Amino acid sequence: MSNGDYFDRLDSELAGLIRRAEHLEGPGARVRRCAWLARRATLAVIVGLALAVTLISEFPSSADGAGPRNPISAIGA
Amino acid sequence: MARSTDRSRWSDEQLLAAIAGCDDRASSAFYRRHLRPVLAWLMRRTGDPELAADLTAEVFAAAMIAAPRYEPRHPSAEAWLTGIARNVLGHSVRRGRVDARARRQLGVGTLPIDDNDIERVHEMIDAHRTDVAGHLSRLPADERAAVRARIIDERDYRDIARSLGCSELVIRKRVSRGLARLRAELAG
Repeated sequence: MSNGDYFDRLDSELAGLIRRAEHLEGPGARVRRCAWLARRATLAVIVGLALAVTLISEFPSSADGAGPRNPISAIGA
Repeated sequence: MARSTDRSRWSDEQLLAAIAGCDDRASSAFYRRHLRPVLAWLMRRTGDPELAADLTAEVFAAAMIAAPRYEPRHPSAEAWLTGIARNVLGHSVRRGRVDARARRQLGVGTLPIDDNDIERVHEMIDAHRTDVAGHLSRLPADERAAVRARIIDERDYRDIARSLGCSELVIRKRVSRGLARLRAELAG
């Protein structure tokens, strides 16, 4: 293999990364972890909001606290 | 028994374990051992030397990341690497652009490819074909025909069995025996 061709450069680059243990904990690992956490948090907020909207639209009177606290009193029992 | 310091004599399993342990010379030995077959595999599927070289970089970057999780289920890591190459190629086709996730993860910069490198791809492909032809020619005729049809021409077993006039099971055995013989020859 001649010196300095694409495949030699790739070999050197990979060897350097292995020597610096980048394959075990790459420089992007922390960024990826943060991005993953951010995605999970965003998803959790969206699901929470969707659930809240569903509950409010299904039970509008309970949203402002005007609904009966005791369902038995609501039917006059 | 003490292990040889010449990493080109190490098995794939030993090299991958050493890569997981941050041995850069093991990484080079593994890369040099498998470069031609991986490049040839990608070249057969893409027909484009520049694309094949680019994808080869991604395959080896992904292999280095996956090395600590390698399980030696095969006597050689070729099948494992081919699986990685298949994933990289499949992902690239689906996304419509060359997969570079592993290189991004490792922080590998874009390596420019010039005309000399393209020529180098063709040289390596030719050398690989010569190697394969040389090894194949030493197999018994029935195994050679089965291995050539299955591995090089990528025909399915049923089709090969029909054309060679024997059962699928016989073809599978011939391919298996032929590959074992080739493996032993390459290792020796």
